[in-house]
This record gives sequence, C-alpha cells and structure tokens, in this order.
Amino acid sequence: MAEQTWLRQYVVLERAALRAQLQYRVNFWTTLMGGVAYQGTQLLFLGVLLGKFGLIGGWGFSAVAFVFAMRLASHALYVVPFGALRLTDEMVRDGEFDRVLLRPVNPFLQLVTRMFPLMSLGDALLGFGALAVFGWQAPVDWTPAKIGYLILAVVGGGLVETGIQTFFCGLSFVATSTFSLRIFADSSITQFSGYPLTMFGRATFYAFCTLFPMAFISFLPATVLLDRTSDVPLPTWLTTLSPLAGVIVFVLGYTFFTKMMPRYTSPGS
Amino acid sequence: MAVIEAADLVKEFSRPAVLEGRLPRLRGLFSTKRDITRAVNGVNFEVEPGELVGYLGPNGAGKSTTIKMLTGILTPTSGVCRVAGLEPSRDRARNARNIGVVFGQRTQLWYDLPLRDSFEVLSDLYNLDRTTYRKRVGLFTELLDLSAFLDTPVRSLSLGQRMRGDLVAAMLHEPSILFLDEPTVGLDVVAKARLTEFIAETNRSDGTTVVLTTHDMEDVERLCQRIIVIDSGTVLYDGDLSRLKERFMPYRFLVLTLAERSIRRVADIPSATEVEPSAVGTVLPYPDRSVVLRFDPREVTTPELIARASQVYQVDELSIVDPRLTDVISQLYDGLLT
Repeated sequence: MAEQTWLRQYVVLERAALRAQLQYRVNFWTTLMGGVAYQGTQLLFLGVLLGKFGLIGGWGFSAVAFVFAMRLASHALYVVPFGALRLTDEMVRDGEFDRVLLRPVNPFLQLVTRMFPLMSLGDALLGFGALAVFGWQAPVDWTPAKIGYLILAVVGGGLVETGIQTFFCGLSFVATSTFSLRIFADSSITQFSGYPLTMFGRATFYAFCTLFPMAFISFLPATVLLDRTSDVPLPTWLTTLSPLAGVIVFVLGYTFFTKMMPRYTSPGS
Repeated sequence: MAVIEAADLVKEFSRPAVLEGRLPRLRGLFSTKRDITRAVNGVNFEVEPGELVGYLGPNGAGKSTTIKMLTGILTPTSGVCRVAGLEPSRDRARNARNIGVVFGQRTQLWYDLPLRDSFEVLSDLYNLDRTTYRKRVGLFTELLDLSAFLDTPVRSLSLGQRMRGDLVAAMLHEPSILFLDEPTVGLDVVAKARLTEFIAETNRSDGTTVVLTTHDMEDVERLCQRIIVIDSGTVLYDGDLSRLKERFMPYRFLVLTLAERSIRRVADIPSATEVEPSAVGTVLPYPDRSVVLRFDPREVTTPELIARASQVYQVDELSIVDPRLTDVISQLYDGLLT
C-alpha cells in the first residue's frame, strides 16, 4: 500500500461528497438555485449602494466596485475549495471528528472535503464575473504584470480568509462552540473587506492589518493596482507585498490548527 | 514481542468547574476554574500478536478512552502506548494503516452513499489495487452475507447490516490489529451470532490481533481467551478467562424442584450449602418448590451430591447450573472480589 498523493485523496473525497449530495435531487436543485439567488441579491445591493452614493471614503464608483469584486473573487477562492471548514465546529462537538483521525489522510484535507461546495459555485460565478466586469471598468491600465499581480492578490485574499477560518477550526478543539465567533468573522469580512478600509480611521485600519487582517483580502492590493497607495498609512513597499499576507495568515492558521488538534476530547463513547 | 503496549497510560479531561453558592451558573460564565477528571489512571497491559482480548468494564470505566488513545484519536496526558511499534498520537496516519476500528455507536461509513461506494472510497484512500479490493469485498460479501444491501445507502440500513458494513470497512485494508468497541450493541441474536463468528474466524485464520470491548458476557465467553477488566481507569484483572472462572467461580449449583408433597426442611447435606434461588441468576419455574445447593466440584462429585440430596428430598426434577460470568464481572466491578 503506497501513499496516495494528497491531490488524489482530495479528488476521491470530493467526488464522494458530490455523489452524496446528488442523492437528494430536490435539495440539489434548490441549493444550486438558492446559491445564485443569494449572491444575486448581494450584487443588487452593491448596485443600489453605489447608485445612491457617488463616493465612499473619497473613492469613486468604479474603484469601489473593483475592490468589492476582488473581495468576491477572493471569497470564492476560499469558499469553493475550503468552505466545508465551517462544519468543523459541529464535527468536533459531536465526535464525528473521530473518523477523520482514523483514516490515513491529512485531517485538514478531510475537513475541507466533508461537503461538496454546491451552493458556493454561485459565489464563484458571481465573484469572477464581477471581477471581469468591474476590472474592465476600473481606472487601471492593464498590463500582463498587473494581471499577474491581480491573480496573486485574489489568491492571497482567499488564503487570508481560509487562514482565519482555519484558526477558528483550531479553536473549536478547545472551545466547545465557536459558532458565534465564526459568524462574527464571516459577516465582518462580508461587510467591511469590500470597501476602502481607511475610511474607518487609522486605529481601526491598523487593527484590520494585524488583529483581524482583512485589509489584505482586497483593499491593500487594490490600492496598488489603482495607484492609490498614498491613501494608505503604510510604506508603499509593504502595501505592494500584501498578497504575501495570504501565505502568512494561512500558515499561522494551519499551524494553530495542528497545534490544537491533540486537544480534541472526542465526546461520547 | 507485544504488538500493543500500554505503560502507565493516563488520560485526563478538564471542563469548566461547576460552582456552588449563589448564582452558580452566572458566576460560571466568568470563572476560569476547571474540574479535572482522570478517565484512565495508569493503565498497564501488553497484547501479543494474534491474541483476542476482551477489554471490559462498567460504563465510564475508561474503556473507550483507552481504545481512543490506542487508535490515535486521543493524545495521552502521560504514559506511553504503542501499537505495532508506533505511538498512535504521534504517528497517526501510519498507525491508521495498521489498524481497523469499529465503534458500535458511531458509523465510519459515508451516511448518504451506498455501502459499496463507501468501500470504493476507502479502497482508493488506502490505495488498494483493484484485484485485492475485489477479492476482499467478494470474500466479505460471502462471509457476512452483504449482497442484498451492498447498493443500499447506509442511512437506510438496519443496525445489523450497518455493523457488518462497518466491520468490512475496517478490514478492507487488511489491518493486522482490530479494535472493536461494542460491536454487538443493540444487535438481535442472529446478527450478533453472525458477527461474533466472523470475528472469531478472522482472529483464527488470519492471526489478526483483536481488542474487543463489550458489555455482553456471551460475546466474551464465545470469543475471548483473555480479559482485562478495568474500572475507574485502573486495571482490576488481567488474565485468562478460564483462570478467572476457576478463581472466582469454583462453585456450581444443583437446582432441585421438589415434588408437591415433599416436605421442605432445613437439611444438612455435607459439602453443599443451600442458597437463595436468586443466586442462580436465572428465573426458576417453581421458586417456592425449589432448593438451590451450592457446591464445590473439587469436594464432592455431582452424582454423589445428587444421591445425597435424593435421600433428603423427594425430587421431581433437577439441574446443574454454572454461575454466570456476568455475576462474577459485576462483583469484580463492585470491588467484592480481590
């Protein structure tokens, strides 16, 4: 029995998760339609918001729309491959995590393949669609280098969100329920990270760069692409390196997760 | 060399302390005090390859906690456990390849997938080649009679069917060690018999080492040569089942049902003691006409005792009853035997 590559294991587990969901036909279709409808309302809200207010924090419509689209695309890169992490809390609390530990497969890999991200496919559609449309309209002179930077920034943003969620997974091994914390993080990211974060004042902005590093999700790299790094109270070189934050936050979150895992108490017998 | 070793194994759990005094729940929200319980308190044992060991104890004794440490689910607080030379909590993935685990209370299968799909996924994860996979599934399908429900989603299986499925899932990758935590709980007589026969056969023919926890003494008598009894996290007895019986159950019972007209009296029969009918452990058909004599076969042979009893009583029926293992075990739990 040779070792399977993690990619092969990912495919095997994700395929099983999809097959499991296909067992419930009505649920399959309503989930798919629900996903599209849910994300559609977000898009409508953005349209209304920007139609009513010309400027947000000194930023015009096309710039804000671009930041927002970057955040949606980053979010899709978290929620499609890693969205099942939200089930960890429950699996740890009811002991289902036992079976994760009984298989010769990386536990994190098993957690992210716990459920096929059917509903999140709507997120991906919306995110990348919006990025294409608003990226086109944004005041950016697109060059191959800038497109490369955008891709790195979106991937980095996805990793920041994944890192934060992975941190909460680690926390669920020691705190019985992390549900409200996770929802708080989720909705804060949804509500704030798509906007020019400097508009909340300096102290809050620094908190968004350190304690709760959502500034890296789209705002900071967007200032680089929009040539507005002067708006940011950080050295330009640091702002330019912001896509790297994704790797750092993810590594920190994953390290915390693996350090906390031995404290799993396996409830029930 | 031992294939499973536990040395001074300890597992502690801590939870927020329950406070006393005024408004305990409200104050509890702000308290950092924690209560520590020791579920496993210095357990030592070794299991040799090919053994079939019963790991017994009352609810909350620490059985499942021990099994969870040996399977890599829980990390010991202190002490060492080794399974096939590996420390399960440190070498979790490699240990997982050597062992098969069944928890009676919780399935390892994909709840929404047909049984066959679960087997396929596991086969892929363990990287079994197709020939081995087909051979193993074919063998198990025949031995455990799975063919009727191989394509049924796990959620629609009966408990007995699901347990058979779980057992196959645990054994597909040919583990040399099996941990079975209450595999027969809730099963009917037929399903239980089939499962225990399969476990015995696996142990006999493949030399698979089996550690079995159960509350069912019939399972124990049918399967285990050796038992380890624990309570409150410590080992109370570790040894042969037959030695336990010799040591704590040297007696047998002679149950006499007296003829209607026979006069019941206090009789002095040498080498036997009259005891309460309840000591037998089974319900006697005519308790008011029954006399139960406890005797030690080393002191008096059964025919001899029957002859002596027949001189005293007019007997309609008689039977010899062995004490039940379950009574001995529960006396062990209660600390009545040392």
